[in-house]
Amino acid sequence: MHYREQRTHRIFQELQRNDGLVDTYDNVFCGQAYLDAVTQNKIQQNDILLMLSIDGAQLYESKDSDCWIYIWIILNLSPEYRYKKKHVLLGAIIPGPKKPKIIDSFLFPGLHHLSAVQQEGLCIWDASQDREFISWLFLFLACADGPGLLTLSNFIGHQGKNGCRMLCPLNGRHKPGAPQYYPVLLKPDNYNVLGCDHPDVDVYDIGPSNSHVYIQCLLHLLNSPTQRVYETRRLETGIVGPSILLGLQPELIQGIPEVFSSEMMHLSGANMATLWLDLWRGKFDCAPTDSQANWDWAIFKDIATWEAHGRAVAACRMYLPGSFDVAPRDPSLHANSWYKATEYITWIYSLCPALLYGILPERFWRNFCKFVAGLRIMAQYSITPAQLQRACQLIAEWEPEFERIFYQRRVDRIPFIRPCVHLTCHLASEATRVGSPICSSQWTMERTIGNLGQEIRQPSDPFSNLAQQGIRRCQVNALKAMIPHFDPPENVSPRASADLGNGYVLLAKRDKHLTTVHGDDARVIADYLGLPRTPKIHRWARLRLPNGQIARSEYQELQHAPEDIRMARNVKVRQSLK
Amino acid sequence: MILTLICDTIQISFNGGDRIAEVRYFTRLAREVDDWHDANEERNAQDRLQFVDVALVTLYSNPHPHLLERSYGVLASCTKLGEESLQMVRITDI
Repeated sequence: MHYREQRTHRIFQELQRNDGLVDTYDNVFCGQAYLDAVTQNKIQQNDILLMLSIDGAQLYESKDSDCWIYIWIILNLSPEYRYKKKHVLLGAIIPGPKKPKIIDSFLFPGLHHLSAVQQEGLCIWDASQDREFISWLFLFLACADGPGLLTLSNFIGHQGKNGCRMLCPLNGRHKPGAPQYYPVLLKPDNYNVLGCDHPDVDVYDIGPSNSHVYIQCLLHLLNSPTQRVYETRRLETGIVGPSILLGLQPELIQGIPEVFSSEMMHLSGANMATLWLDLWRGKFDCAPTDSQANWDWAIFKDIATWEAHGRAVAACRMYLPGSFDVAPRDPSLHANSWYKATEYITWIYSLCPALLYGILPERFWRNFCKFVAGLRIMAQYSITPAQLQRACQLIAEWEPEFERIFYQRRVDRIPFIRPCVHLTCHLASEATRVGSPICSSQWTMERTIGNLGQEIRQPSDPFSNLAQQGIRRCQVNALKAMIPHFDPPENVSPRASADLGNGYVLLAKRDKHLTTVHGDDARVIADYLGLPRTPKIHRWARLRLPNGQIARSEYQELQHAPEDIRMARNVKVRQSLK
Repeated sequence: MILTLICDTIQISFNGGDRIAEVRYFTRLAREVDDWHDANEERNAQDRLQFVDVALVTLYSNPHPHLLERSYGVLASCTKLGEESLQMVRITDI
């Protein structure tokens, strides 16, 4: 539990050493928002930082199983522990299948409880130091996908003129006569829609808003004398009404909209992935003034190309190590049925740069690669300041280029610039504010939904079943926390392994007996040892690396048919070769 | 044959001069400690040996420079160098 304290101390040392820069952005504590709050004494040594995460879930493949779940993540724990099942606190399970009309009423009991504890302080006894103290609970981040966030923020949402989840001052533009706004930076040609005809916006001017502005706007909105004025001001401010989070103690929340950050999982695994696919497959609505014949990038409109691509994706399966989780299936066969975010991410950002080379015309391919390069850095768990600068530059170049080559300042192509394009521009600056985006993403939420769903053994009455599973999990976790004997540490070194130190562990299989090696192998080993004759050796099949990945080798992989394995024998070697 | 290697995003950084290799197997070789005599005369014969942990690998070529540059570093295309590149690498370099 002392992780935050120690980490904060180390970060302040890094800042002194590196002229105000952290070594790497790998935690929310590396962000400016946290460090400022600590220097201003808003967050003190004993306080607990919380992250709230909410999402809708479908328990089974049918729509009838929709429900909503929110969880609390305790940021004081180190990242190795805080996202684990054992340490995630369930907030509430809101049963479906119909969407709750007033979701605030379901969020209220939990938030009310938090607010009450915030007012009185939480009395804690630290057994390791035998000391009692008062801890204040600080709500640091609130995460959700686009629609989910609106339940917390009460903003107008991505279709609005001021549609950014961080309430940034960028104004959207819309097609004449169409209600939906899009965050287009470049001004369309021959365009004079009132309120949207501002000149081009510089991508570097995009930055988050702050709570002073929010409060002013909110007051302005709430003081509307008539419904008409209210509607005009709602359009202007992007706010529908006060957020439920205003009910928390104002000094114990990061502020609105600061508490809302970018959400990497939906952005990369769903929204941007769909955008690229819709472009390549020509799935956008084609305006009468436009012609699909001009869509040079729509390479997958041709069914044969699309199916060939699908087969190529599926064929990559055996080359993807198991650490990639599920390998993407053939999208031309499976894209509609529970194609997972992980599959999209591997498919689009790992495979497509290679698979589309020579298929996608060069300038579209390069623009895509530029995006992938930026996104890959932003998706890292640990980002150095130099990498962050490169990602920032790549994304800042990519966005206007994307607008120029796809939307081409054409009024009828405004819908190409979906909100996710704009959110991508926020990624780099958000990392300096609240640490690497992966720390504040929805993956934990998704995992919680997944493993709770799996625990439902009985298909009837799924919602109360789910709620009971949730309660039981909380009870088990509480018992484990109170009586650590119930929770013995996992055996980290499995049977028949050899720990080599420095985090390297050799794993089975291993030759039962000393084996004589022949041919080139024997020559290379003898040369290496400087011996005239090659000694007998034990061959090992697998090696666990310090980063937790497991490298395999030909020794066992060649025993299986290539289709049956996920090849993991290709490794990166540091160049100290002779 | 051109093999397009798709590495973990975290692992791609060729500017450091890193290479990609295919592992044949891992092993622990026993080797005499070079400076044993200087260290301690008293130790018994077993202490004269220590393990060198190594992997037997074949290399891939360096990534195609043009593709790597044009793709902003996201596409690394390498070819297998085959049996001639067979060599030992220390496990701690993986």
